[in-house]
Amino acid sequence: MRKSFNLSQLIGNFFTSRKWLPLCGMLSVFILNACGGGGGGAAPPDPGPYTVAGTVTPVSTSRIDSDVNDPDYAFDSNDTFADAQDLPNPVTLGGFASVTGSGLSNSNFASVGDTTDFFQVQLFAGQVVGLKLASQIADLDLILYDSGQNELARPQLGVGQNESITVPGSFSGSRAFYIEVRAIAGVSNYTLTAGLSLAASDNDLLARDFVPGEVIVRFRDTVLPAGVSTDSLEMRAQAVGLKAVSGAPGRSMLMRLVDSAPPSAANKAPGLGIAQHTANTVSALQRKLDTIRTVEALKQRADVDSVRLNHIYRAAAIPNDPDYASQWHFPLINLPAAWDVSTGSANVIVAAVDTGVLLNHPDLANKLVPGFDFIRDPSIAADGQSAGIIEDIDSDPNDPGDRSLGSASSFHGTHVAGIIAAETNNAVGVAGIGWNVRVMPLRALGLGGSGTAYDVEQAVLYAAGLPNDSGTVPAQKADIINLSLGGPGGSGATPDAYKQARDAGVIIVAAAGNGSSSVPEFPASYDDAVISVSALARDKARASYSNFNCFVDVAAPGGDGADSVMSTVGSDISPPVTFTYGLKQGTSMAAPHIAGVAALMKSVYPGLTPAQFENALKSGLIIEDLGAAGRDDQYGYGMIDALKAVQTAQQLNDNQLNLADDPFLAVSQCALNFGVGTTNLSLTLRDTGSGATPLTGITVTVDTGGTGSWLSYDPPANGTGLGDYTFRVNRTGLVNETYLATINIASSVNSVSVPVVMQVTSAVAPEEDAGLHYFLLYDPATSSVLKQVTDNVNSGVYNYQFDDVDAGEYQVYAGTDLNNDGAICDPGEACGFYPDASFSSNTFILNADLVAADFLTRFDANFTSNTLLGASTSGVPVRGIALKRIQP
Amino acid sequence: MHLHRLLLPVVLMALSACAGSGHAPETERLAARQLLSSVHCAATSSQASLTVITTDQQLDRVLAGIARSSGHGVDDQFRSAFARDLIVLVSMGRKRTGGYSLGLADKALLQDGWAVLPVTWNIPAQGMMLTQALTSPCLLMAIPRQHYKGIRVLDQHGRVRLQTPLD
Repeated sequence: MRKSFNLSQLIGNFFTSRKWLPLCGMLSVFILNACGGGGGGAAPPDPGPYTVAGTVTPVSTSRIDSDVNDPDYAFDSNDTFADAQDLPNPVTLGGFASVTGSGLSNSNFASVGDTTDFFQVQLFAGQVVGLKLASQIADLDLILYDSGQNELARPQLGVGQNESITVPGSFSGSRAFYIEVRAIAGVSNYTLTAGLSLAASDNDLLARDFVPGEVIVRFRDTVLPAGVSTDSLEMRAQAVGLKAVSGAPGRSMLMRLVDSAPPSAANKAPGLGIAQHTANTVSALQRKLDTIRTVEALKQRADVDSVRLNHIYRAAAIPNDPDYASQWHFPLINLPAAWDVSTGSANVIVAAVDTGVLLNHPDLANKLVPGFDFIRDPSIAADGQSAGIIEDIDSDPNDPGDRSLGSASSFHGTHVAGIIAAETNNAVGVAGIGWNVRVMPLRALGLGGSGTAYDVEQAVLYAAGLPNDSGTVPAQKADIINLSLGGPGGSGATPDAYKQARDAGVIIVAAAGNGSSSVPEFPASYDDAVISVSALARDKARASYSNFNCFVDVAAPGGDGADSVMSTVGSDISPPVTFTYGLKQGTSMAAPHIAGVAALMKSVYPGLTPAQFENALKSGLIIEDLGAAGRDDQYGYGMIDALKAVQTAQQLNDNQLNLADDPFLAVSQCALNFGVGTTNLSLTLRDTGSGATPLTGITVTVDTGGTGSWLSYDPPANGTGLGDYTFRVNRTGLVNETYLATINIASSVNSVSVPVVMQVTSAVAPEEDAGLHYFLLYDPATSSVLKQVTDNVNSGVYNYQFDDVDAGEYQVYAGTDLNNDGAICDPGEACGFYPDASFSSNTFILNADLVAADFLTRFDANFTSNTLLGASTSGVPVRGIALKRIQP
Repeated sequence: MHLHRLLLPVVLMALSACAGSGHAPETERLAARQLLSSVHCAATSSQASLTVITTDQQLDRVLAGIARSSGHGVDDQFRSAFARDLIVLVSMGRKRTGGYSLGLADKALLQDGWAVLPVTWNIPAQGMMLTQALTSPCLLMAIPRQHYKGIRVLDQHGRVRLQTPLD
């Protein structure tokens, strides 16, 4: 249909179009006044003036460094241990530090520098203290001291580097700690965080690639056992309680452990003759443990020159895909050796819940089973489909790309699918982990790579063959679900979709998130149902962006710096889309490495259950331990080792390994933090076993360390001891301090301890304080600040009011100016604005008094760093909304 | 579309006439065009930036980074544009998730000697599930090769996101 124009309509549209506001905002107001209106004869709006007012609340746990650079804010030095500023736990603090001589004029630290900030806080083992710098050219050190002022940890990572310290688990002194932020170079705002992130108990390390029960020993020819005059293989073996296999004096001898108890003489000799075998069976796992201990015992004998495990070496399958040479991330996890054992089975399906997949990509087209598109909102789906089953849900999981945003697309899901199972050894493109494994493409993320939790959960249900909004289920459910996505969680309770999918036998793997923080993202942090994967750089260090927290189960390559993960993508710069290969980094790339390896295990041992996979991680059988021994927040149980994984699967398949699908007690939270105001929190107890043998004997006790009965709980009503518990705190009558407790949960199989922290304060109102705030009335049409007021927090809130404001379109911004550079909302500073993201528009139309323009302000631990202090004063909004305030 | 172009000077004249005293900036249309918008531009810094590409080497580096990250083929259209126009690179910097993108939103303007480039500066809505791959959205634009006092990038709300003087 031909569109017609008329002049008055066009001019009217011109004036009402917000796209032209930068040009005509001021002029249009002038026109309306001077020319008698410009929009079709309607009566002009009442020009005002009006009032804009509201309340601004700092988010929970907000605190401000008591000696910042802004001279208008109350100053209280915290430069020494004696002056250390008390902080709650958890806390997010905005701070400022500078070396001498780097300050700005007219500031608190114009000449002397704020070289140290000391804080005192109650922490317990496993918690993470994090320091985020605003300036990339400054160097601040984070130092942790015990209560005796003894230094415990100092990362010293250098200029522009964010630092973190995990409170050491071995520390047994007072639970009060000092934290120092020390300026080494330059000047910077910073955000200091201390929150709950607790490591689980350590686990045995048995991850060795060797023949269980066999050791290779070289004896000292000159040292013979007492009473022996003739050297021989048999004599040497008998002397150490082992069975001779081969070899001879003068060279290495192969010996084997005697199968039956009691333990070998080798273990007895150095006093290690403890019972090695469990009562019921000598599992392959136990036999490997015996072998390692025997080696350690033999090392201590005077007649032994050297001893080692009989390691297994294998030919390594190298696929002929031309871009395989760029896939450094596959050899890193021992995949070539694993491929000698298994390249996967076509009976195994991995669901990729993502942005969809380019179904015709030549390296994927033959590897896909039918999928689905679960995006309900057509504006997110943007796939041109109509008449979906419900709203826009349809059966086409092809990734249509982001071109409606005017941007070449990421084809994120295609990249993820390629890591899992790109067609391999076909002399085309890249290799995938599961050469024969198939991928079920499920589209739940749309434009820009975003989507809703609900759509993701529908895809999870579909993949697991469970009822879902599509009204159908796949012909064969997926064995593994990969979720290279994340977002904020809700109450912490695991949604039923994940629990039901896991109960259906599906292993669920998710990306831990790219926040470079311990803040949990979901679904990865639904601990009782989902495997959380952190990302590694090429050198096996945690990738700089990767999240780390108590929910991380395992690590895998995600790339960092110059090293990225190579996989399948598409290019839609010039339609139609072309099928190519590209590099990406992220925990999104790490997760499919785990999903792919799990698929190889499932190919070798089809009976693999989620509980067995988790037990294999916990026992160290399928990982290379990294970081602290056992589980830690950075790497979980360690980096996945594909060879060990398929070997473990072989042993399971051959009934040589007892990774029983036993009952096992798991909890939904690794810690409970009631802070200063929360009174109720939930904790879910769950049996992660198959259910064939019920978990029994569940008891829950609380230990408040003699501080009273302030912690109680309501158990679930089902009588099994499993389910949702509600824990409550009662602060009545307690003196002001931080209280710690432990919830001890015992069962017939295992026990779990959950730390609890709670605070009592004297303040009638909340103590949140984000420092002196500047409130700016902003005119987006002219990019100018029209009015400014200031306020300090009072009873936990700020109040602001602008009077005599003309009718118009505005925004309100609030924030600190810690570094006193004349701009609020710099990196590292508190910031908030109205209308916030809960509104459909970023501006509001003022045509009457507005007295409830309320919003939140916060220090953001995930802000974007700046390269130059004070760059925001140039008018360039670094954080997106940095604004110059009005200065006298 | 043509009617828009014809009317623009008329509207501006009317604005000037009504406003009277010369407060309005000198403004005219600028023939800017989007060459490429990609979510993977191999940015190493987390800071947003505005760069005017002035050398072949600079252009090569930018295009190679885009090609390496995204698999996008970069071809002659960029080089021919570079021969004729100024190439402006707007980068959002490195972002930790998906959900970010850039695009040339509307007609660019020459305002008091500054090139004013309106862009859509898309950021993810709060609470959404996002892909967990790092992104580095960028926008390559061509503007006529002439003298500018500076270049200013406005977002869809009229806020100055980036600017750089060229004098």
